[in-house]
Amino acid sequence: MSNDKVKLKIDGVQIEASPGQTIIEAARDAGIYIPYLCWHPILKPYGACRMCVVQASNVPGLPASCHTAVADGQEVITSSPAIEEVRRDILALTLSEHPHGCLTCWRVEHCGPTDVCLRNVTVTDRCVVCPQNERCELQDVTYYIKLNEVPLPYKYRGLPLETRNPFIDHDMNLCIVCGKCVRACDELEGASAIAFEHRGERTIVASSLGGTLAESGCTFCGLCVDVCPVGAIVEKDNKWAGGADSMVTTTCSHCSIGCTLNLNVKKGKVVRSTFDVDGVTSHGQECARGKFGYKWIHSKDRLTTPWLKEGDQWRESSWEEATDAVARKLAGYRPEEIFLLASPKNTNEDNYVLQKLGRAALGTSNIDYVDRSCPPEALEGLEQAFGSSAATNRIWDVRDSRAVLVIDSDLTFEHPVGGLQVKEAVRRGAQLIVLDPRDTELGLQASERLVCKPGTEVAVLGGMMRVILDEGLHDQEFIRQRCELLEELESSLGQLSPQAVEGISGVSAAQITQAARLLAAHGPASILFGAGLHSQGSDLSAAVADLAMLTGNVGRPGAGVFPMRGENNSQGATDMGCTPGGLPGGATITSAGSWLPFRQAWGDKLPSQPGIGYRDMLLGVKEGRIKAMVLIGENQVLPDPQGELAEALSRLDYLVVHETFSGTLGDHADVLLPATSFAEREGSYTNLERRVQMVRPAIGPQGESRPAWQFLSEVARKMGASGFDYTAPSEIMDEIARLAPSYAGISYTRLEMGGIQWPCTGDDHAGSAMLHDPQFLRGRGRFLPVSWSPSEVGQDLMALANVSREIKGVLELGFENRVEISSADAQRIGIADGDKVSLTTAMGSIPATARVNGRASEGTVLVAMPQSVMITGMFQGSSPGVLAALAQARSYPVRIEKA
Amino acid sequence: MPYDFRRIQDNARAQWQALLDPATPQIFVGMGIHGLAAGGPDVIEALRASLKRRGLEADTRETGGLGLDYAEVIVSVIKPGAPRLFFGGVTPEGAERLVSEYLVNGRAPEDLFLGATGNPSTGSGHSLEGTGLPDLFQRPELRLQYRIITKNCGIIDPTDIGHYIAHGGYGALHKAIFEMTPEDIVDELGKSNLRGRGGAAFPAAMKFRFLQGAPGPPKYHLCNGEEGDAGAFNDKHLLESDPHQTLEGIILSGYATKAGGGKGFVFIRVGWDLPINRMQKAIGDAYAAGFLGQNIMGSDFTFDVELSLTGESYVSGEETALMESVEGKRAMPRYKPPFPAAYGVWGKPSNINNVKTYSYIPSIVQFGGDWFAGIGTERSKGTALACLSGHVKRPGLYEVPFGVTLRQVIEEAAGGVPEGRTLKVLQTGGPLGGFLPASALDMPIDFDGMVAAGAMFGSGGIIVGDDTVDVVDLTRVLAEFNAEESCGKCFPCRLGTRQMADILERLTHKQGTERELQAAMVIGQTMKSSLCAHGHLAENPIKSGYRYFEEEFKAGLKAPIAT
Repeated sequence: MSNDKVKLKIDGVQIEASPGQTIIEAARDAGIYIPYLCWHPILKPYGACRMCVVQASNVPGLPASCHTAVADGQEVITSSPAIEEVRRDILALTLSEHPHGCLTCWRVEHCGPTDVCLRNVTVTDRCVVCPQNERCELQDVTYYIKLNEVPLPYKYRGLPLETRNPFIDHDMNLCIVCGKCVRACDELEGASAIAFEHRGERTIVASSLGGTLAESGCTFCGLCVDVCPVGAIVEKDNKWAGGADSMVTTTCSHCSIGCTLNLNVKKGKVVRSTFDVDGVTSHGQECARGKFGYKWIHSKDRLTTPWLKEGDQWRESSWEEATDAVARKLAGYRPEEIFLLASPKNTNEDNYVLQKLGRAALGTSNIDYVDRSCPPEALEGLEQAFGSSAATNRIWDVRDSRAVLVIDSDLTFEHPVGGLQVKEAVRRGAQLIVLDPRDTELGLQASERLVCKPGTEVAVLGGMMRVILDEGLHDQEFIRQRCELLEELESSLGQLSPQAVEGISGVSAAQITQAARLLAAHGPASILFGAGLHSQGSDLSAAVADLAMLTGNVGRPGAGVFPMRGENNSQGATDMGCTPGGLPGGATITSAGSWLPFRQAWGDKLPSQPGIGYRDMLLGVKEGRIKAMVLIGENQVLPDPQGELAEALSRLDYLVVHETFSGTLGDHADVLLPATSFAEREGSYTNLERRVQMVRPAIGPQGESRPAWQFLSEVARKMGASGFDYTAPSEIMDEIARLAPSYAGISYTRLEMGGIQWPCTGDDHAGSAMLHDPQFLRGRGRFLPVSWSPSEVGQDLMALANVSREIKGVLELGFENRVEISSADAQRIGIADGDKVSLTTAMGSIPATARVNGRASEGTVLVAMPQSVMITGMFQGSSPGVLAALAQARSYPVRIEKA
Repeated sequence: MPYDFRRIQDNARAQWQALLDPATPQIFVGMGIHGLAAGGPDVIEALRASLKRRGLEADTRETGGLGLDYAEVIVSVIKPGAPRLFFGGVTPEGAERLVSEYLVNGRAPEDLFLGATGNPSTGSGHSLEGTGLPDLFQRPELRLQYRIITKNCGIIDPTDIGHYIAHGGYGALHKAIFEMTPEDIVDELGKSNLRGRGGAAFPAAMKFRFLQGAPGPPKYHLCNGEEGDAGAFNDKHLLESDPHQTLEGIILSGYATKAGGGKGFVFIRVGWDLPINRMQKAIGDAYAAGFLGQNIMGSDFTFDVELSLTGESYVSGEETALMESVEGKRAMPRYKPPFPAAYGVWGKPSNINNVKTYSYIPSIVQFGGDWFAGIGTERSKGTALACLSGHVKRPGLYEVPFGVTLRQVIEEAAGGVPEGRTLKVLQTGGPLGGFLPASALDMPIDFDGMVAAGAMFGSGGIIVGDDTVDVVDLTRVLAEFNAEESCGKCFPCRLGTRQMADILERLTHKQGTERELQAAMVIGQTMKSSLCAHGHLAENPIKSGYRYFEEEFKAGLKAPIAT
């Protein structure tokens, strides 16, 4: 099909449109307004309100511009007496069921919200008491059409409000039945939690199953709120805040997808977070965390001033004094005694300056960060096989895959917008294979759902590869041209026949065979995996890399490998060199060639050997080798199921914490410094698909809080180091671009125009949507042997914290936490089905109800908790506790006791 | 063994012949929906009990409706050596009399006797000549008829595929597959000028050509038996009295539109058990006989048909709403274009036709397009299935050639309004159709003329009202129906139908105002911007009512305040 532009005239203005566009889209692009109520740029055409009717020279009558395509030479008229009449009559009908006391009032401009109405309009009929006032599409349309009288009697529906959930309020008396919410819930979120009920004039939006939203499977993504043109569906928080003073487009800081959000600011406070339909990663999609998870930035528990500990006493201090103290104190330790804990939640600029402080000013490479669901060291296999541990393709393109393999990742909860792409692929007919010991939502949609024993995933993948090789289903051409050392893989699969794997994993040989065949037969296929569920080291990522190469799914659109990094800037933290052996831009300390430029730039303190990582640090503190630590973070929850971290921190000689909340870390700190939140600072995040995106300040810093780069630079300067004279984060990015080849073409000037995926090698390079095309970063893809050995499944019960859709709701609604336990374990502990138990980890206890059934294998319990509780726990408490930590889908040792 | 359709046909004919000239009496009980409602099952039971008590040998079986719905339960009897005699208004007591008086004594009860038939196509092995028995088909309600698609109704057992085959059934399919190309069939349809019977009267051949040229497989045929119009019962009648005819029409359409490897769906509203069961049985029997599935009749043509139930929603009879319904969604119309032939069910090329439209196709293939074009008027070819109800003496289903006047159907066939009353109003085409005054009685039945008069023939319902009818109230009932049944999608229809019903409600209470009456007319115009015919046509009742009965509407206005 040709991509020639279509030329048409709208209201006499010659414009160009893309073929297949509708008239209303073309008009919008050209800045011509056509009134509408049921249309939305991110939804499919619907054609219900008939408000957007126009005259088009090639169509008889008055076609609706939302579902009439543009055509060459078409002449469109958007307003004529006939069109106006239809619109006016439809609007009059619409207002006959919507309160319109103010809408049609001639003196509304003179009227304030507290004025006494001179026309005695009932309070429920006024716009000024509507939460959508000033941002209402019906208002816009009414003013455009200039309707000042409704000739038909107004009927109030008298429906009860629906408020039984923590986030969203429904007042369906204001609904105009445009169906945008219903369509968004179906088309974009795939949840269909809301639907139309009744017929005719009684048609109204309600939860699909008749009960609360949660009971109908609502994920609280908030799309319905954002698309609602009137005040029928609104946020509970800041409901009455009215129109925003300003809207700031920024990047969400909740997970590694990196959705684009608009923070709505009113009187210096963030009052709302709304979707951005032009966001390149999310295309307007969003999730509960992005939509509702901003409230903590205005928590009164935020740290607002620096605090110093003197003896056992805390006292407030100035930044000057605090940085003086930190610089003086750090200078007293030998480089190898200091550890720097970077943050996958902070910006690239913060992390860059932290590692530079360590390497250039302190002379240590003891730096690491913690990603709960995908630890950096677990991706070593991918690094070795491909030459990079980063995701190979765009997450949005997963929807074009014909097969998707999801391993150990409860995507729809952990990365909801990523999960949506998988669901969309399934809708488009893709085969979905889910390999997970847990009961995940995607598992319900899978063509093949492989429920393995925890820790046997690698064996299952090995079994699948064995089938593919034995049956000759591998992509021989791809392997011959682009890979090497297939024999190493082949020889490692000797023990992993499907039958043998059945014995190991509990997944039947037939299922393994079927899954292998499905994956091999349906290309392009993408593989999404979480590497943090069990401690399988890097074996899982190695096996995933092998499988992708074996099926030719690298360097191909709609294919690829996606490590589902846990935090918003995990990829960025790796890119900035916040690992013991890393350097910015994928360089490594041990490679002389990549080390040298940094040595030249940073001076001779730069260590030539890798430092120690997080796990070693815990041991190092215990053994007295590590004495001081600088930790930056933003509302970060560090997992500590065994209490090791708390113990290490308590033994430290000197701990500097730069955080938004003091949290549990604060107890052990010597210096507590207030950090700005994502809403208050400028910087960049790199999402899991390597896209560097801007974070823009929506509000000023809370209290005296400062971004980490600023405080770290000051400390470095006070220690006499040079090269820390930054005045703005853009200067830091410019330095990164100079030093890190993969970031070479990235600057704030370019990022302001939209995110860029690295490698971006120069100012004229557009970035790379796909890696390893036409060849792998390391040259040839290297097959790695599958190494699987029976791991020690201890006698401890392991809890796989999990969120299952079926009871997704909130405790306050009468839902319960649920622990599924095998009958053998239940018998041993002496609990019966339905018993109240307490579930204890090193981080605390929660009450739950025991379910004795066949799903949990012996020695393992499955924990299912209502999602919203966790969301609430995360956002509303200043110190996220046990719930939030458990929300991260990791294995933890737990103790179950009868309550 | 090669597939041998002739052998199947011969077997079926032989069996039918044996039925016409039986050794023991054969009794047929009308078990269409009207027969059922009139007590058909009780009549069968009474017959069987009576036969058993007397120790008489006789077979009882079900048949569909003859169309003389006022006369149900209709029982027909073939005694050895006698023509087939039809009896109407049979109750269990009547059944007892049939056995005792006719079977035992050979004396047909005069008060129940409707007439006899004397030729094999109407199920009689013996001529009436010389018997002195009156011919059933010379009765006024049958004399006027030209029975094409109802010819087997009430004559054969709809649950027996052999009966249908014996009446030429599936012969058209055999002829089409082995003697005609898909193009030939569509050409015949083109010659026949068959227009869709669903209401829009779109030329069937044109629709078929679109689908023929569309890419596939899969391509789908959707047979629309949703029939939600009050006063219309001809689709149900065909499905319950002669399901194989419709089924053969669908299979033929599949062949004609090159939809091999595709599928047909028959939609019937959930809860209409009789048509559902009969069609279900027919589909099963057709598969068993090799008329459906892989390699139909031994050819390389493959086609499947499935029964699908729609929810109880009037709008799900609209073609795109029906497609949404098939896909498991709420039955709300889609916008067009794209049209179903390009983007139908699941986005695949589809054709959707009414039960009646499909039912004509076997006859057209069998007898040719020219034959069909010879029936009816210039622009409305073939026959009309008029469903007469309301204030007439003989309500029922009458298949008459287009061009016959309303008066002929109402007065000759249906017997006119009850004694002592005068005809005042006709309501045609269902709730979205309109009213006609008594003066319109001499209007010929056709597609276009009736639309011009503000009513429409539509699905064929004709409700007759005598001088006791309050037109404003009747309009309110229709408007209320339209408001209740709007699917709720398009703003103008969802809100307009309700406002209109409310205005009419006030008029019936003499609380209307001139301004409102005008507003109702404006709303009617506004609703025309809706997506589907529900909105387009919802103004018809009030518009045509006002056109012909303005005085009655004016009488519903509020009395002026006395000064």
